[in-house]
Amino acid sequence: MRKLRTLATAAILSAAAAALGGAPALAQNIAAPVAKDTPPKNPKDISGIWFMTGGGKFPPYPWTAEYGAIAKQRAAASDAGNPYQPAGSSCLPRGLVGMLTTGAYPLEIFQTPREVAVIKENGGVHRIYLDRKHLGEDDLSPLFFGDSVAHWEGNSLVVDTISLGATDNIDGQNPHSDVMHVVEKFTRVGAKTLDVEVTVDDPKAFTKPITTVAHYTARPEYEMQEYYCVNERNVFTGAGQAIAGAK
Amino acid sequence: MKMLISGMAIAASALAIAVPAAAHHSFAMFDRTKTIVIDGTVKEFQFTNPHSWLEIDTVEAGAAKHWSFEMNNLVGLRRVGWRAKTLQPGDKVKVTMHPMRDGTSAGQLMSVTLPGGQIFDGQGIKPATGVAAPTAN
Repeated sequence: MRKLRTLATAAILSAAAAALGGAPALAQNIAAPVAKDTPPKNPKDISGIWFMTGGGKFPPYPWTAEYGAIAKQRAAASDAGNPYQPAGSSCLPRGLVGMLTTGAYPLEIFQTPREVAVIKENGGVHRIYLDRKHLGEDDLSPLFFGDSVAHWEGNSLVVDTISLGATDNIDGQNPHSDVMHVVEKFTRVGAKTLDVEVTVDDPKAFTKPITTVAHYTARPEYEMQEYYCVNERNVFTGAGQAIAGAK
Repeated sequence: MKMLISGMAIAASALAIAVPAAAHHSFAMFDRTKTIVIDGTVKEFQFTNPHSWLEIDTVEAGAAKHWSFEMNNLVGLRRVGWRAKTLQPGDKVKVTMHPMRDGTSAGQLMSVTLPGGQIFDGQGIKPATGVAAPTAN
């Protein structure tokens, strides 16, 4: 009996820690943070394969009245057994904020003088341009990863992203608006460590901007796997879910 | 044979999943307060994205029955030792799962014990036991 009690306590503590620490699906996150890192060879090199190993949790969302009501309605539907279906549930990408602040799958960053490309293993390509300013409104449409332009401030790559209206959820459930604006700061803080600070400014949804820092650890030997949804068997009826081919 | 595990073990297994409900679409359809162990024969192992699936045939109260189990995606399972041929049609396995709430003959596969005694985690959380570490990730 004592063994089961200890197991239950450990599980409760680890689930609570995971909930507070905000690093979901640690199972797939096969890097551990480096206990004592060394300085980076080139702090302006953010390329490589990075697994999220800490951080990435926003403070409680400071909702406006309108968007707080949407958040509450989606939470209630989920509790009633009819979870909100974000784009990712049919294998479209989660979107920019989710890409950078939920672990589970690594990022692969390619870097040229003109462009930085951030690719997430479970889908999604975030292209960042260093050679121009934002496109005009006439040239923009709702995007998953937006129109992203960046410049260096010291050793931090500061990225500004607009036009993020292709998704309507910030974390798989909670809403954001079409005017969401995201600022990211990529800083190679160590030879094996990358910090990604994400600030979300959405005046329709939030009364003030929110910020988090996600900590990433390098795994240079890892090979990114393919992830294409060839076998989606969850059927979303709006009243619940069913499994195709099950009786 | 089917066993219903009750008490503390259910609480432990339900809480051990460190994925927030809001981040995933389908966990809500499983009754994660119930853990059932079931013996069966592999009909098919679908090693795919966004989910892998294990289809087994069982015999319950003398009648043939078929079960479909949702697993983690191919990429996540690979990281804890799964490969495409880990399960083959005809393999006799023991499955630990959370059943569907609505009574469909389906569930969330938590772990499977292979004929040789190896235990593989169906949600990509724990490395497989009883096997050599995989040579590739």
